[in-house]
Amino acid sequence: MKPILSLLTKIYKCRYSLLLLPFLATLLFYIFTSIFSATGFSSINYPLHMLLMINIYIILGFSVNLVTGYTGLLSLGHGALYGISAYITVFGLMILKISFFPALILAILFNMAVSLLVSLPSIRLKQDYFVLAVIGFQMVVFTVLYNWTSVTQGPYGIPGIPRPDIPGLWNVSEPWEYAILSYLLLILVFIYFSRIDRSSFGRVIKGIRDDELVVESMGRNVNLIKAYVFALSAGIAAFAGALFATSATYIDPTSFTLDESIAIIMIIFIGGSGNLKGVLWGAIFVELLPEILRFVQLPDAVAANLRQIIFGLLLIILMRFKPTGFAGDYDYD
Amino acid sequence: MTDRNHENILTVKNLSKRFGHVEVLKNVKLSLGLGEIYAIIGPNGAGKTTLFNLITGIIEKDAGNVIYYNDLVSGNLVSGRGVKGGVVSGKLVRGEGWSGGMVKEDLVSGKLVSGGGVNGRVVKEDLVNGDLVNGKMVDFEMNGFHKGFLFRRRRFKLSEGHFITSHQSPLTSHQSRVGNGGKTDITGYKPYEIARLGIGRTFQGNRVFGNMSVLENVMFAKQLIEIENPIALIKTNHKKLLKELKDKNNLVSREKEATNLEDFLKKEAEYWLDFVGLKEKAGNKAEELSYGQQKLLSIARLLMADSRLLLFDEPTAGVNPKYSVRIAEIFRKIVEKGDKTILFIEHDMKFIQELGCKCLYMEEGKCPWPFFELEVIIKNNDIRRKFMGM
Repeated sequence: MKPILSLLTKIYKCRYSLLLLPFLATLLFYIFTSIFSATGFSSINYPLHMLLMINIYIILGFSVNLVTGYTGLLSLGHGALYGISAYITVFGLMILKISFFPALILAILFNMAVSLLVSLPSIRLKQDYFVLAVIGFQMVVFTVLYNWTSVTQGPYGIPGIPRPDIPGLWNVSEPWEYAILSYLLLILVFIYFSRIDRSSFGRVIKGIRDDELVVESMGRNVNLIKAYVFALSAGIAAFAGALFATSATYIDPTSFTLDESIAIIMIIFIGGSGNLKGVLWGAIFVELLPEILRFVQLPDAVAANLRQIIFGLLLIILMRFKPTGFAGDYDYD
Repeated sequence: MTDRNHENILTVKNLSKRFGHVEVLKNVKLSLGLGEIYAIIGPNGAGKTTLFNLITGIIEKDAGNVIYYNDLVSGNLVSGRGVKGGVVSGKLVRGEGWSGGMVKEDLVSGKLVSGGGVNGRVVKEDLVNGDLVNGKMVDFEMNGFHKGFLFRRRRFKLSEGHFITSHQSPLTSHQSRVGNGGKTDITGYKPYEIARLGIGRTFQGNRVFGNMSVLENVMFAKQLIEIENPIALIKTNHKKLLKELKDKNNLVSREKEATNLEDFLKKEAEYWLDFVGLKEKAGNKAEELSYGQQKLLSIARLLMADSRLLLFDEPTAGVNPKYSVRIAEIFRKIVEKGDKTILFIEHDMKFIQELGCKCLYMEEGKCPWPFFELEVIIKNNDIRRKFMGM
């Protein structure tokens, strides 16, 4: 018994064990729904798809956590960055005919470039005005995606997106393969992020969140660091965009609206920001809650509204009683 | 080499500042020597904090100059984010060329462009993209390139044949200081550039990072330019950097035992926390500390940054007598070695008396007299009436 216990404590203490959370949550969800459903154990493809979506949202959560949770710049434009990278991946796959990973790199680079275009002029703005500038960016991106029909096919969307592959080695097509691919990308992001979390760079950006002037007077070029952070965050969001586009095999601009940006930021408001674990809890919650509501067999129209109401109430309750979110370090109060 | 004063660290010349119609500073002059403690006293609204803000570049001056006398080290030379530069006066001793410049002997009059280092050429005329060895630097001009990530460039003109860099890295050793380096007019520099030269400050109110732990607050202060950007996090060889850090001779405690960079910073931060007496609180969040303890924390943070000129804005305001005695002790310990200077704003006359330091009296943006003993100043009836209310 003792060795098992000590092994379990070791696993619990290792930060990488956090990566098991999405898997365990999905497993629990699957078992729970199967026990209470009339039809018994159903196809495993559905929970695997859930796992993929959770992983995508965790990656997005890390991306927004870097900007908002660590550096303290409230960003309501991550839906746009997510969208741009999805479209650029599609462009790479369908027009340039390159395979998934080169397309991903293309999306990352493009996203970073776009983020610099946005951040360099707006980063000097004070908090509230920065938020407005980023919302403006979100609006512009959505409008372009929606109306530039000759390129993006606007509201009709782009169907038939090729599935991700490594030529000659791996053709991702089954849900479990998507889950593994998403896990691989998530692990990459997680390793990098945990490195930031425990580094001088991490402390500097946390310092910017707490007191910009002190950071500046301690020899750091704050504006430059903010631009770095924004670009980095955009790069991370591209992982999610590429995964989403190739797994859904169809994208249209309505997936990347301001609502999406708000959903992304909800991850860190609910789960907690400024550390690694908050994002995981937040993403799991935001993804699984609607599924659970669907499971209790509320009509779709009610479920969708109920979701909004629950999120809204939860935000108010959290802000009042636990401003750090479920598992966060940083207090927005 | 005309007016170079070996003792100086900072000279303020005719500094003026105006906010709208209010003239906050009028032709302020002062001069600070190395290894001393100075106080600034004066009624509220006299412009004391504004003077600090001008020195540290947080606000821009209207007129006047702030001249900073750089450090001359025989330790490592600097390369902050692509900045190449060296510190040399006459003869340089040991070179730890670490993409910084270090001269072994004297450099003969010439122009030095983007250079520095140990194994290089000797030049009489222009030295371009080269390293600097053997030569005497007399009456020369140096153009150091400040090449940042955004490729901004700045020219540095050196005066008096003393060769000083654009920016000093916080790794610069101060222990092996051998004399004064060149001087730099820092007016118009950005706050972070001034901080990198070695001028650090605390603020009125504590301004610690409340959401970070006490230890992290202190660890933050050490600037390691090599790893403080997202790309370097992957690219930089941490082991090599750690070895370089360990080889410096300005280690304060058990850093030699450190197994990784974080550990290295942690050990140094613990030393400074111990220095101010906050070691037990290392794991607490900074916002959980009392006001007085936060004051001590902001002092520890400044010490970790290894600044040469430390500006304290009301170090004992709102602090109980026990802490204020401790702060006085800390101040004395800081200047003990003679390589750091303290300038502080204070309203507590007892604290100043205990330190026995010289004072500058400011009033309505003017400094009517240079630094004097406190006793002399408060004997002045005018000051007693206006400032002390007696």
